[in-house]
Amino acid sequence: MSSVKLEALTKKYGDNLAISNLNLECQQGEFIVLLGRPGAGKSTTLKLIANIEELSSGNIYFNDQLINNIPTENRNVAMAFESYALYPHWTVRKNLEFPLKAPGRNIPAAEQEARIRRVAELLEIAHLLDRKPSQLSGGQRQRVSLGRALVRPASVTLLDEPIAHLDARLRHSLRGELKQYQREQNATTFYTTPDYVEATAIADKIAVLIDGQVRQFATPEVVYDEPADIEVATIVGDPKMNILPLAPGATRLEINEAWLQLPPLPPEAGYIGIRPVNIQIFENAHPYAIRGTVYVTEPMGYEQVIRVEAGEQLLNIKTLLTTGTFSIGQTVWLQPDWTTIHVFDRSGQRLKGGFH
Amino acid sequence: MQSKFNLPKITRWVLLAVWGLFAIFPVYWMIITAFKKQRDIFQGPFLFPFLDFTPATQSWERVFGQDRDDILKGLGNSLLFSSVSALIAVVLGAFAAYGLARYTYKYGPYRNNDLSFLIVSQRIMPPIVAVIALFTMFRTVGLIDSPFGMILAYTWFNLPLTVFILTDFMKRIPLDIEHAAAIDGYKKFAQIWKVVLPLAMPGLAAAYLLSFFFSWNDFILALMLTFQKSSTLPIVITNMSAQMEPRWWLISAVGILAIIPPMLAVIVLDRFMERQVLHGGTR
Repeated sequence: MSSVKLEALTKKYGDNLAISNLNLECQQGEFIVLLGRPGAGKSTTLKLIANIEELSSGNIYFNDQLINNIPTENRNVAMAFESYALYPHWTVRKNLEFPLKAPGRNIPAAEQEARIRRVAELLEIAHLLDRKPSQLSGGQRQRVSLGRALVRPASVTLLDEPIAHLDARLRHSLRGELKQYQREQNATTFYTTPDYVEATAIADKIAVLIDGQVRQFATPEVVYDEPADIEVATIVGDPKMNILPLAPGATRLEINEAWLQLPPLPPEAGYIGIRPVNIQIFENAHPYAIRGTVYVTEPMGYEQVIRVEAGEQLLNIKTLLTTGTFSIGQTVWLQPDWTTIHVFDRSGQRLKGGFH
Repeated sequence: MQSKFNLPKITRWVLLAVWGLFAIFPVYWMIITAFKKQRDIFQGPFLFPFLDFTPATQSWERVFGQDRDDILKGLGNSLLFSSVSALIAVVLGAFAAYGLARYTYKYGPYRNNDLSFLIVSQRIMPPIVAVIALFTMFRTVGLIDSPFGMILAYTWFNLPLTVFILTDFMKRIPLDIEHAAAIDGYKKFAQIWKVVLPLAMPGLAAAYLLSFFFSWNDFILALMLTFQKSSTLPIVITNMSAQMEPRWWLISAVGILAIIPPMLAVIVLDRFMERQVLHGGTR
């Protein structure tokens, strides 16, 4: 239950820069999600906070106190490992008990028992307490590993893709439960995931990690509505945002012999981004629309994702299943909603200001 | 259709039978010899008690009578030296192995792998090469024929083996499990005691057994470094063939006794040899 400040964290493995000049500050009790592709440095950041990996340079503060030199066992951090890292020679109960019995914690036996029962019920592993890890399925092991991180009060709780290997039902229900539990415990939490849906569902704030740097740190709404650059924009959202390059000084977008008048854009604009939900698709010729060919369709329950080849672009479109049935190779017409476009400069940075 | 003439199966059985003959026959021979009279031993290969020869207790009367004190002393020394030196070798070996598995060392041009090889290389040369020098060293510091000296010698000789075996076991323990123990609030010593050692248990047991066997069966070190007081069982057994001819009946009887302690050690340590100890800890 500490506030956390990461100041210019850098981690090198030989000549490889895993984390470079990473800055992040969060309040006590906040739920922070580190969102990024594999290899972006999410796990490494957590390990630096726990001091499992040694900092190359930078400072870490808990509650404004510099903790760079405090060893792992005295940092009072809890962590769920991506690899689970259970103690295979002990039962699930002993695994959960171990952090509660650590020297100096002095948690009364009754409270230990209550805490174990609470997380066991939360994670639906109460019936597994007397089994050993080798007798559990992969998903059950992951829940035990999550349980070991949640069972005790900690300054900071670090969860490294803690529900990645659970089945869809549990993953969905646990997202809500985890958030609820975190509120109740007022536990400052860092949570990593490559899945933006998971991130937006659970986070107070999302830190988008790319190449070992925080590209954007904001609430899920802001990250979605005002992505800081093109890379952030394509990580947040599924399917990913359509990015269209602009000719310098262009006032219109030309695709397949049709052209669309662009809204007034600042002169430095280099790319526009349109989310798949913000493109309308028509089966018949339509004014103010560009022509394209259906490349592939993916029905997903009540929605569908359609990828359309338009000129040199492959555009993602997400629409309701009721919009129509599209088949591969079919000619369709597309109309972007100009009021929702994102504008980026030539280097990919977001351009501020309204363009509509 | 399955052929009745199953070549792989037959080959397997033949190989097993040959191997079994080599494994079991010496033991069988030793046991029947221990119950033979002198005449039955030297008159020819008699294989079947009651058919070929009449079992006798001549040798056992010696073992529990006249030679009892010598044998007990050898047995006691062997037990003491083997069990204690194996224990020390395993404890020290575990420390060294943990270090070699987890940290990076550089002494001059030597890095971890070179150090490992350097340590194992102590076992490449036959002990007879080193034993003369060892004798000189021991004589200088007055360790000849002393229990402490023998334990030291066996520890020295077993340590490379235990380091070699245990380094591999330590490397196989996922680092994340140790990190988890640190996160859970335990210092390095507790991490090793509560997590690393239990998970290295199959290795510790195997290393202990192999060290124990070596010391138990050693002849050359005991021959050179002991006279009377610290004689081990192999020396006692050899002395039984003194003077005119080997007294096979007696040697066989003591041989049977010499098999029992290592057998017990295997039975006791077998339950720690659970190979699956690491299963389920990580993804």
